[in-house]
Amino acid sequence: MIRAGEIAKGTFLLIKNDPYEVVEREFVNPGKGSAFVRLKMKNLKTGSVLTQTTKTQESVEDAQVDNKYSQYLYSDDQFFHFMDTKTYEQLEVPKHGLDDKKGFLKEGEVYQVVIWENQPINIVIPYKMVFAVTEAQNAIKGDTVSGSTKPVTLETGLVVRVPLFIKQGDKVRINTETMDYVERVTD
Amino acid sequence: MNSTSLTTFRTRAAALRATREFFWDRGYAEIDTPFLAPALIPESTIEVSAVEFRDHFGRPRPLYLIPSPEVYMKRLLAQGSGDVFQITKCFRNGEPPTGIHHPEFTMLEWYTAGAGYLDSLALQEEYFDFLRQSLGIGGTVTVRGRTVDLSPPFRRLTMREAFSETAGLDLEALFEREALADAAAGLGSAVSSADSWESLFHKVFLQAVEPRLPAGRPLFILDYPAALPTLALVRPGGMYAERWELYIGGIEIANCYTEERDRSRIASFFREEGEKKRVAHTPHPPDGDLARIMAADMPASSGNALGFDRLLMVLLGKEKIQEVIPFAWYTDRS
Repeated sequence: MIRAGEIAKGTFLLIKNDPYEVVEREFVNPGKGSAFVRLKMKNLKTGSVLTQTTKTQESVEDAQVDNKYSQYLYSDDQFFHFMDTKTYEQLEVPKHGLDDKKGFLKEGEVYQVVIWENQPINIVIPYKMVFAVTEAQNAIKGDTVSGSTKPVTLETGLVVRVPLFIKQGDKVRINTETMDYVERVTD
Repeated sequence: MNSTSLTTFRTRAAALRATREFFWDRGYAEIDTPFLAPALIPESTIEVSAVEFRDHFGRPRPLYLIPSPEVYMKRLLAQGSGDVFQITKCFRNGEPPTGIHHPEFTMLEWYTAGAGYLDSLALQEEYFDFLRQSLGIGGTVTVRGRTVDLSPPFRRLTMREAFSETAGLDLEALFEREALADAAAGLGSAVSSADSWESLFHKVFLQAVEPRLPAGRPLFILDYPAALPTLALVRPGGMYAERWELYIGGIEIANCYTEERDRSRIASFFREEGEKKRVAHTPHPPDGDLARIMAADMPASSGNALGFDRLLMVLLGKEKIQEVIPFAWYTDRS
């Protein structure tokens, strides 16, 4: 059990026997009311989203999960395939409900795979990641309308906005939560 | 402090001055009452801060930082002060880092003798417009990403209308605890027998009503269910209390009552809230004298408590309360 006030984004909860990942957490203290926390959670089996308002003092059931450091190999129609870096065991994470993770998966990169009741159910994406830029147009001179950024395509297919000086083949660090450009990375 | 915040703090000073001018011009007496009190109005939803005071023999005496100046202002009213206002620091403990809370903040509180909550509503609207124009702020602002048209009159919704317009729920059908519990559960919230009516009400309100409140203009929500424990006057019939809150861009700015003066209602509020207060992180004695004074000597009146920092935050289009408080120390981690 965990006190609702201690729940953070990324906490795993168990609701009616289903595992949920907390994707948004907001504290709310209404005037003349108790302290509450508003949670937005994703069901890791079905992908459906649930919002819940709970008193910060209440206890809720957290899902007992393990994290396994695993190397991303490839994906097919149904699964993301990983290999546990310790045991070399193959892990299959069902893609259902995890479409938003695909753009952050780089072949050969190590991620934490979340295991619940012996089943791989989720992937933890690092807060910041480096990607190669595979498609970028050169800045158009005199283009002031779009401000000082332009869209580029990354090696995983993700499209993000970056400063105009970024070229095809550059490596950029991206904040994976906000999709904001952080910096250019030189090896 | 950088130059941007210095500009903000000059505006803050101008706002303080304009506020004083507004109330002085209308005959309100400015008062300043102590920060420390030996006993407080028990409010189970507020955590307070205790202070260690020692007398000249070294004997400790527990004192508490005021969470609001109400405890002193109502005494003055009862002594015949007439209309009064105060701009003071208030202290609240254990509040979450939301960007609209700070453990030490500035409250504007005023009481009008012989007035009701609708008189205060009119004055609130007038004050807001006066302040906005004094600071040379335009007719619209952006509050946390939402554009708000500040021109009066502000929008008004009763709590019952708010429930029906945002969530399609009939508030009066939820006065029964069981119906309210069903509604909260139906919205996906966990409900248990430990939930009070207040807890269930807020589970529904915060989940289905508050996020959908119209935010295009400042909004008064009026007539709260009497089952929420407050010191607002309960209307004949016992269903609603004469209370409003002002929201701007989804942020609560002010809370106002026609003040309750019924002896048995005040006594049961102090008793029940005092009971809940025993399990607070920082318990404090309930101010029993005040309960007696409010029933016996306080004139019919209306009081409003306004979060001055939040008001500035909204007027200046700032995202976080820390941006308008000099030397704010409480960081927003959420």
